[in-house]
Amino acid sequence: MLQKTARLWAIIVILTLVGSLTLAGCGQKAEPPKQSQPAPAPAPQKPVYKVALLTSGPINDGGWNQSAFEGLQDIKKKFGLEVANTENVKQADQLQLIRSYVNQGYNIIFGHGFEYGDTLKAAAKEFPKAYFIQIGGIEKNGANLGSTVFHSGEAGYIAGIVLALTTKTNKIGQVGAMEIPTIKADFDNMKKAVAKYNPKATVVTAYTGSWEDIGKGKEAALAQFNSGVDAILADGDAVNIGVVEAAKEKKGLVVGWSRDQSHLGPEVVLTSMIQRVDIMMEKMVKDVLDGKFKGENVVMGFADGVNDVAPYNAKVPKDVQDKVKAVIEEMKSGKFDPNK
Amino acid sequence: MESLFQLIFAGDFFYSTIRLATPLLLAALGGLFSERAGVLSLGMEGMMLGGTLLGFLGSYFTGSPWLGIFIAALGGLVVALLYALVTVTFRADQVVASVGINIIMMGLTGVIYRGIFGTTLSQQIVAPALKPLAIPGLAQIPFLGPVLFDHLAMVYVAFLLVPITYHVLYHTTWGLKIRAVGEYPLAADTLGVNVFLTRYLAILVSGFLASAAGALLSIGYLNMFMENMTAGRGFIAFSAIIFGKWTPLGTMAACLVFGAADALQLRIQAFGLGLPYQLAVMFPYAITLLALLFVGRSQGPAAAAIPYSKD
Amino acid sequence: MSNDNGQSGRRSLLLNAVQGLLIPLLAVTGALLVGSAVIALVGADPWKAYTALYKGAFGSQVQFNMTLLNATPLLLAGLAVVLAFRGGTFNIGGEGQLYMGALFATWAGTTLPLPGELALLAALLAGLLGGLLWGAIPGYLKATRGFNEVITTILLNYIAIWLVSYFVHGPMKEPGWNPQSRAVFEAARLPILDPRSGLNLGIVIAILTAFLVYLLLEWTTLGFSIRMVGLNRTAAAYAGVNVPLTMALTLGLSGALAGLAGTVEVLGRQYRLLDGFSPGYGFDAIAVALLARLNPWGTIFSAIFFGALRTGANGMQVVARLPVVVVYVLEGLVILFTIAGNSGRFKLRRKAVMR
Repeated sequence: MLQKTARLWAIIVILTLVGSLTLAGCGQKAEPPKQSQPAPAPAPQKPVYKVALLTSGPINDGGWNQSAFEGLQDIKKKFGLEVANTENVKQADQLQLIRSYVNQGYNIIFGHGFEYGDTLKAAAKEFPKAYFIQIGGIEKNGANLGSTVFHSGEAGYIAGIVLALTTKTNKIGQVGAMEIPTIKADFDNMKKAVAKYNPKATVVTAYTGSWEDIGKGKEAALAQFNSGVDAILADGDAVNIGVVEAAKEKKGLVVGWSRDQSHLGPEVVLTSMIQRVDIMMEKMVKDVLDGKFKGENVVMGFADGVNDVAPYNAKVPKDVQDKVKAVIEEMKSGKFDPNK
Repeated sequence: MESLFQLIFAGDFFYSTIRLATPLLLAALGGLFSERAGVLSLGMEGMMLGGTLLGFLGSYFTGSPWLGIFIAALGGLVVALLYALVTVTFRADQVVASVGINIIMMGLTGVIYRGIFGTTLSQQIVAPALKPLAIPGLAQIPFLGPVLFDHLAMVYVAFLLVPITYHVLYHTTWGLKIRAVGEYPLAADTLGVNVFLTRYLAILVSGFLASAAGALLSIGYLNMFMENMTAGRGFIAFSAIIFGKWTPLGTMAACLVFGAADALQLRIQAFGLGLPYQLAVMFPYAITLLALLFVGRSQGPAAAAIPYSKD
Repeated sequence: MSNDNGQSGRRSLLLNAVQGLLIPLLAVTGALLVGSAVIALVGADPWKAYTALYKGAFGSQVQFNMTLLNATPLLLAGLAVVLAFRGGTFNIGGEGQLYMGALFATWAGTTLPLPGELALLAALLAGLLGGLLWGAIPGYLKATRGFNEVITTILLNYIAIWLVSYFVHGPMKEPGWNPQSRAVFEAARLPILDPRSGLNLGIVIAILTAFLVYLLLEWTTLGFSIRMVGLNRTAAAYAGVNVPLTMALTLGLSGALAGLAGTVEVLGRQYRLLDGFSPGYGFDAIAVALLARLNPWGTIFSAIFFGALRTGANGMQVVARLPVVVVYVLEGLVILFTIAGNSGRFKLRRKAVMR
């Protein structure tokens, strides 16, 4: 019993200690929060910009995160800026990482995905002198927080035309990893395109539930091919690899995503919807450098060269290619918007 | 609905089931040795991860996927040795040691792969992969042939290991020692069984097979490596052992149930019922939980997860 | 800890202190030494990396508060593990229970229009309830049907994670672009203690909970029954303890604590629910609890230790430019070394936990 009482006391001491430590932390908040911005240059020189990128997944996923990492390297080359990145960022760590970067003098921070919205909003408020840019989202504050996003579903619509006009069985598949906003927008518009260009065709959707599980991607695609699907839109980063593998086995057709994926299987990859995240990032950084950053949501698509169609393989007939070209021209000129 | 029914009971569904179950089975059978010897096999996820990379590297550099599998299995011994050192010799808690091994392997596979091939590749690196081996004669049987006898050779190996495991565990001295060590290590020790050696060997078997199972994922069903590509299969294999009541046959049944549920889930999605995909992905886990209702209680080795010390 | 009371009572205080401090210290040093080889291998500077690790976790009051912030969910989920393991139940479903707690808390915090503190209280209770429910299922199955809780909790982890995903994409989705829940009402949020780090009242709740778990285990009849069942089921049954009921209760309470971890993460830090919002707190919690030798107030320290590791690892990535894969290796090494170093004297009698 004596031991127990001693332990009780020990706990009370700990409670007080931790409590006072915490309170000490709160006491300090009385002083204005230190804006640890990069040390202001002694002379009114041009400000020094350093760029940091946060991605939720690995930078070698062959898709979404890799394209942002490559965009970052381009920024380093093109503008001669210092760059850094952190991958596999967990939701709970976003704000801390951003704070650390700002404390290290980084003042252009990219959050790569819709999931950075809240964090970037909070960070933009906390560090008014740094710039925060969300890719694949729509956050903006009119000052130091902006975002850039693909013209929603443009590429999905184009993929839909290609698939609708090449399917022989009139069954088309979609395989994704998880249902995130950009993927959903593209899948939805692909369905619209199919409905318009091949009303007889039906579309089925499958998600693997994992960005890394290539094997599951292959299984999902095999299941679709076995159910009569003969052409699939693959939009799940690394998962696409599995889809192409399945297509090779089942002599199916695939439209790749994010980069030219023909090297995975030249005979089965019809084409790929290229997404130039690097162009988006460059534009945002250039705006900052030129003093033109307005804290807006910048929507970019075919007209800006952000969306593009990779070279076709021989299985896509010339008239289909021409039709696609025509629709893209309409999108570029603003005559046609798949969302309207 | 009729055509969904047709979709499910097509030969392809059963083929898929076997294919999805095999990596689980291979790992779980190895894990069974470790579990029966009283050492948790939660570290299989890390061992499998190591196997995915080593199998890929082995196949890439030697040009032979079979050598790849073998190299992966040998590498699995090293990971297993580390796990055994920590859990058997240092008597560390096995759950935590597993968590540690799994994190290390997640990191280490990435470090090595990136170190060899660079961080970002414009093209995916591919390695030679295993080819399906149709068994002459048997593969020509209608329906059953394509379902059962047109798989990768590793699939046959995995299923042949079921009776072999059964035999080793229940009909050999070594198997008896393993089970004794898992049930009542003190008594086994008194009878002159080397508890430490027995547990070390059992863990090594687990590492060997789990790593081979990992290699099956990277260069069996595919021909490339991706970080974290096992995506939790080691944990499912671990559950399969418990589900199967720590017996080889039960474990095989559990792996097949899980494989079937996964194959079914993908077919439900492919059928396009408009079900939210999260519910489909959740389906195998829910089904397994339900299946447990029919299996009932399962009782593990008495000394499971308890480090043994002589004093 | 009750089961080595006899021994430790006889040990000199000094020896205890040496074992309690020196060995973990040596273990961490060993892990860092091995880790430095890996760091050097990828061409980074180990010294710089470790300085960043330390500074990131303890470098300033703000950094330390950040460590405490990261320790909060680990402490609560760790306590859940402590309670379960002490009662002889092997709850590795902390992650799922945490998700369910967060789900329920978010629902309450975004829909119940309650005034003032009532909103917060309701959300906290809802979170507890969510976790309780998800812990009670394996508890019930174990008590009535003898199901092994290891497998049920693993399966329920996956089910909870996908349920949350379904809810944030479906019924609970905020209108608009993002698949996330609405933000919880201001009134339902935990007060912020330090705006520079985001440290909130959650840490106080967590430490109080540690105290309560200690009280429950050491000073109440229920706690005594829980420990007795954990030590020896047969003996407990002879002594008149309702073993199945106690185990079900243990798992339920343990689930509630893990649920609270998810709740505090939502109400104190993230304010809304997203897919995969937990970086695996529920699994880290097992290491937290076992490093503390299943001692509730030791859990405070080990949670801070793991919180510091997380916080410092973030600093290490930013300052020393260490790739995340190297950070994983380091984390794993630290876990392995500390647990191995800890085990020489730590003979946990978790008898027949796998049954």
